[in-house]
Amino acid sequence: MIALEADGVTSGYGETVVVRNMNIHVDAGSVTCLLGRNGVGKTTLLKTIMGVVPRRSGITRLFGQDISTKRPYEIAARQVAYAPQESAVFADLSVKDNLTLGLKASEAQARNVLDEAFAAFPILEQRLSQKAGTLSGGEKKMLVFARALVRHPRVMIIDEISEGLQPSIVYLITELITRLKQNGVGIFLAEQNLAFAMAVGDSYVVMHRGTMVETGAIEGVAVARLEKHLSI
Amino acid sequence: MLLAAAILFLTASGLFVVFRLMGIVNLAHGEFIMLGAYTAYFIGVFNLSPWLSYIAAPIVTAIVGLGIERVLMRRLYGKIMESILATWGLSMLLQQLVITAFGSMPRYVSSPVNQVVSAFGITYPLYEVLIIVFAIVLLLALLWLDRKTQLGAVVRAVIESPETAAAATGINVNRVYQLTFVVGSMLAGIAGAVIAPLVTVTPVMGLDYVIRAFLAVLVGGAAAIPSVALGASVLGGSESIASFVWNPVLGYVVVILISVTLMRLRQSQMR
Repeated sequence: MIALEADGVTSGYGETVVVRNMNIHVDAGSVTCLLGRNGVGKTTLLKTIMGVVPRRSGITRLFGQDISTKRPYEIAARQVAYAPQESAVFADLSVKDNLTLGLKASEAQARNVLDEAFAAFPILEQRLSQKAGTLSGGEKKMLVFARALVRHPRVMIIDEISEGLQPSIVYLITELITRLKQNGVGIFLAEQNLAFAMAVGDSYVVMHRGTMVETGAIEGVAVARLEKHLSI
Repeated sequence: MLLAAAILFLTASGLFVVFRLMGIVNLAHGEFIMLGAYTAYFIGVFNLSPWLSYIAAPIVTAIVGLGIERVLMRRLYGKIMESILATWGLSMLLQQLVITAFGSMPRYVSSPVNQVVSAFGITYPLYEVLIIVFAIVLLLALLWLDRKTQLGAVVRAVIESPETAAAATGINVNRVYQLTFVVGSMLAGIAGAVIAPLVTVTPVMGLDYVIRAFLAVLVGGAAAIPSVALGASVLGGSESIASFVWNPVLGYVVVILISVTLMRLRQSQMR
């Protein structure tokens, strides 16, 4: 079953077209990796799917339903969790508020949400009342991932989560993604860390200058073939 | 002095909540204060309890604010220059509507309490003491709302990154903007009703308040509600002293001089 689909999506900022005629699909219970160097349009494509960047043409679908004209909060309400790359935590808010923000949860439900987050990343429990802006880079990434996780998504859109993370945390996130896959979650993962992408991914799409240049299954693909798209 | 600071804080708080979240300078804020004062006046005309005006005024301005947000403001989010021009036009429109409907003659509102209280050998009108107490309660209530509630967290998240708030946490950012504008209108309405017994109510009364209120927000730094209270205390207090020592015109000059000096000082510290 196709969880997330982009069909001929073109988008950009103002007059500038950044993403051109992109086609992707993410199956439920699988990870599709979006590979490419910095500045090729990966983040813009993710933001277009989330309704943040205006789409110029093409259609995006969630479990077959057209979400092209939906607003970001409407897409998020359809159990699509987005873990963005930049400005991803609310620096002025506590870790607790970052995790529970937007969840119409009672006190008991909020406690469950926090327990889920601590089960994934125990360090967050020690930081609970700390302002998110004071966390280390790695802790901020954990918070961003945990915030997406506790929304019980059917689809997860993740933007370069492994960037700048120490290997032990990357390993932890690899395990969490594997578990999400087993639970049927469709994951669309923008990455430059090829080892991580190959560890969790099922299929890949390579982007270059806003367009798709290659796609296929991760299994059996030659590493060198993908590396050439990521090296400068 | 305390009364001047309290009135300035009351009139600035609504302007602040809108400016802080949306970056919009609502030049029609003074007209919401005026509408609140007119509501208090009509409560008196119909011989209803003057206390009712503190409930009716924010309801009236909330309804007007909601209508204006739907028709005008939602088209101006993120457009600073356009919002200044549009709210300036809105300010004139509201003034003219009130002049057309009720005329331009001055109106007077009687105070709900006429007793006086004495402390340290000085006698104060009780109503003025109640205004100061109300300003302090409002400050504490806004602080609690901002720091201790989920709504406050949502507003602070939207201030920090509306994009992330919407996409990563599912917050309806436009709804937050709408709610904030309505709350700002309500605060202006209640400020108008509170100050009405102390001033002459006219269709153009708002202009004077919006300028001082905006200066208080800018002097305070527009970062958090206590900074607005501080800005209001500094400006309201200094205007009050200068007006007492010299005259009200020089009092106003002092306000502008202090505002410019403090803003320049902060700019140089930020560099």
